[in-house]
Amino acid sequence: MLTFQAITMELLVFALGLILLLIKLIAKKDANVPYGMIAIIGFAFTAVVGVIAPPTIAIVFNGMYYTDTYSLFFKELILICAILVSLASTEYVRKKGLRDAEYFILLCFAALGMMVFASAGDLITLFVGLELMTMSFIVLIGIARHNALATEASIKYLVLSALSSAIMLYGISLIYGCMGTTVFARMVENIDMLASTPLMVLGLVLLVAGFAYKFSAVPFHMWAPDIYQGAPTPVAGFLAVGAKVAALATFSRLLFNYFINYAQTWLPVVLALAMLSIIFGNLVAIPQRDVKRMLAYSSIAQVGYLLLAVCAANGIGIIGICFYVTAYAFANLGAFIAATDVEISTGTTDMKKYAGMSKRSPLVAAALFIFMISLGGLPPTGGFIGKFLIFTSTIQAGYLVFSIIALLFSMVSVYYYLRLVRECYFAPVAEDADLTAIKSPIGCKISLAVCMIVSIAMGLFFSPMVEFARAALGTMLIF
Amino acid sequence: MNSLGFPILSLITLMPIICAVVIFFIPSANVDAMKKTAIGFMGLNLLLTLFMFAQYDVDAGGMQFVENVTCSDFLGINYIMAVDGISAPLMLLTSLIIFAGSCISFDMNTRTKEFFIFLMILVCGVYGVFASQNLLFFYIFFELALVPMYTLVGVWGSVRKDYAAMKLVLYLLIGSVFVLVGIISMYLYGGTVLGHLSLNMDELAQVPYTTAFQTYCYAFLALGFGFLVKMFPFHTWSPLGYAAAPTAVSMLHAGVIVKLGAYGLIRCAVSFFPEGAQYWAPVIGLLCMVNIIYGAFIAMVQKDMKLFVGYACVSHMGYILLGVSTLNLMSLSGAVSQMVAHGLMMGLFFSVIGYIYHEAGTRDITAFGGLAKQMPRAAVLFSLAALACLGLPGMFNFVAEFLIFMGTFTSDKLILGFISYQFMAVVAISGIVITATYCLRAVRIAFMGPRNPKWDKLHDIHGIYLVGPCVLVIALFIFGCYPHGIGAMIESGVAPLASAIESNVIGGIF
Repeated sequence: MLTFQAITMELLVFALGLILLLIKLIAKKDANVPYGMIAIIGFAFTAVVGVIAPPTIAIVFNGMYYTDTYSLFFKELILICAILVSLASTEYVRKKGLRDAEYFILLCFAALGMMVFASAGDLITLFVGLELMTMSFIVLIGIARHNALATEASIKYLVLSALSSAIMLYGISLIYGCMGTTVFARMVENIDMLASTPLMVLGLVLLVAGFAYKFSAVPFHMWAPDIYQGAPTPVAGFLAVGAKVAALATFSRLLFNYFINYAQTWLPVVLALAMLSIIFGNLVAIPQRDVKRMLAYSSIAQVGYLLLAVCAANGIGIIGICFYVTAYAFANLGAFIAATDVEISTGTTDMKKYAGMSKRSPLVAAALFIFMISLGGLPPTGGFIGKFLIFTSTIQAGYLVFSIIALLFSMVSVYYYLRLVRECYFAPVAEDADLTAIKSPIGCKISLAVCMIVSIAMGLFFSPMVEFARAALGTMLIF
Repeated sequence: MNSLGFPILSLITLMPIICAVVIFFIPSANVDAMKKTAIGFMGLNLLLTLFMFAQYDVDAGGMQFVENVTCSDFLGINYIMAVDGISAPLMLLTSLIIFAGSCISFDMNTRTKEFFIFLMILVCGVYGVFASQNLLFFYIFFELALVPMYTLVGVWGSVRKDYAAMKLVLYLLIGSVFVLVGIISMYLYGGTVLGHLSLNMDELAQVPYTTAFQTYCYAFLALGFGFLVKMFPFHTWSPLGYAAAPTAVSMLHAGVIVKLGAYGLIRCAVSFFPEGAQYWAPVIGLLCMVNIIYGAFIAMVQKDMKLFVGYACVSHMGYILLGVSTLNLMSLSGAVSQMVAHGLMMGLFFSVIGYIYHEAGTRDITAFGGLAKQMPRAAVLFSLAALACLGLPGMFNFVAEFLIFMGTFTSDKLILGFISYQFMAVVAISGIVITATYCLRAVRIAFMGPRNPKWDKLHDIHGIYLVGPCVLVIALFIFGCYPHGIGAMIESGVAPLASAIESNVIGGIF
């Protein structure tokens, strides 16, 4: 019984998905059921339960599942993202005529997959969580069935994620062959057995490559821009943030805590992925003219900074990852929600159409300003404190040159982030441009306001978040 | 809590934010109320700063009005506000400039609300840099002073504003990357020596840094702040930026924000790393010679008044850098005095130019002719600024430059084994001659020529627009005629730095 109490949060989200399915089954065809509202309440309830009655810190199911503060940190983050996405989606789904029941049901299962992924203690659990998330996303991306772009994106995602899953599974099977187990904790016991046999090295590299697909690090990034552009905007936001948060949680736990003795194998690979992502992502983001594509390339670069902190492999690095990923989640999701908001009214994500936004919707313009500053890592936002922690960790680990290059490229990123601000605030407005005020739906307004406030609060009152991240690090190190 | 019983420094720093919040809630149609609110709050802040300035105990010296709130024990970050003899005068300078700037912005009628809100955020950053004694907050405030500039120049600017805004922000942010790397290096080094991480300046000052670390870290900080202080060859962003920026922003920018670089250099680099400062002094010394002479020659051929003042500023920042390079008590005091004097003078220049531009719609020096006949008061103010610029006795600039030259001339150190600081002093003083040439030339062409009937309808500077420049002129004269008061304060702040240095020799890199 105790074991099931440890996964209350997962069970609650699972139940939420089932309840939504049930309502869809029994409700009349033309009944106006507020699926979005139910999903939001369900997610919020789960998040609150996680805070009030946190699961006992333990490894449950014979080492297959972690219920420590580290996984709780990421699960809470995933749930908050799910709430914000649902808030922004309600109006979007109605406006675009998408199937709302299916949309929110799949959102639930995607979130569940992420939560399992983030707290996996075993390579198989990890894979199950990953696949649950991926399957849900494949359908979510293509949920606008009659839109060619969306269908294309969906198929692309299907093919590429099948490929990456296959690569990862192959890596897992090789590691299993070398180690004789798939449980993280038990792998440590066998760590010297086959320390650097070519098979183990190959398995590890394939595993890293599979992960790299999931958080779209260069050179495994090709899918991201097309799919973000084709997918419904809130889904793209959830994909860009939630999926990465979950993947990163397990990735850094695995490498930092269990495969640290194999550092000579994975470190050069991850370092190369990080630097390539930072350089390539930032440079290619510059000429983008579509907001979603720009955000896609910028999030490739953002992953680069996080991977750099994984390479640092020290305590501050993990704290930095927790902090930065949170700041990134709010800023990036906020930017996607702002794009959703604009798309609901204007039907476009073209950057040029953002001209005059400060007059059409002061809220969206101000929110984008803050999100862009946070993504660019400038004070007084959470993005800055996150970057500060990350680069403190990398300089501590001795990567001075890499840190300087990465920091300089993050200033390159300020160029294209500010260009969006420029469009909103002072780009010349075309004469025939539509300048009617944009009426944001209430859900978008709330989620934008939350993202804005959190982005700034994290930059000014960073101590509680740092303490939470430290607690997370503490429990991660025990296991 | 400090001796006054209330957190005066936080109050001064956050006053602009309070003002911004108040302005935010004023209805958009009521433009005049916003301007008056800004002027009122900044006037109040000026009084508060004067009070703080008067209460500063020069005999005791050191950090005063200390506020200390712990933010994060683990990261060693406290919110510490305090001022010493270096930062107190600069706080006063900021208050003077922003008060004058708010007054002169009374003609700002396009998107007034946003303008003042961004301006206030920027000013908050400037105050914060001077007052905070924790490197993280120092950096946060530092960036807070830079980022709003992008929209301020981009929206309300004039010539090539898009290009100038982006260039300015990117240059300054790239500079700040090196500052950040320097700060993180200190953080980690201090962490290993102290046994716990800390970014508080008082704790970091206790750390015995090795010579190798000092040279390495000073290089990063000097490079980073060099961008901001317009050290050759990183100066190209500034004249363009000034030309594009709206008046109040030009004033703040040339008056105070470039001083942030010089202040940061002294506060973070020279005070922590005296040996590093000596190691790199020859490089700074040689580069600042280029600033002084090259900047002055370019200023001589400018037609746009703002570009002319912008290059004059490049040239004058060379004097400040010369003071930092010479590294003795007199030259460092001179450098800090020059920051104040130059800030006041730049504010005066830009406020008058801004008014003329607002009236005439052009800043071309050659277009005006005998503007003194149509705008006598503006002509007088501009001429006073020009005289201050060339270091006329009676103005504070004379005192500052005199101190720097004296300090440099009495230094017996050599660069590259054969260039003596006496020689550098001679070169720098010859820069004054060039300065006199371009200043007087501008005054003659724009104001003293034959009357140009085209400008007969212009109103002379009047009413609220006159307040700002007059405040600045008065400050220049008071400090110039009675330099002892502020001088003693600056000396009390600089003395600890100078005493750490003077026992050693200069150079090492060559």
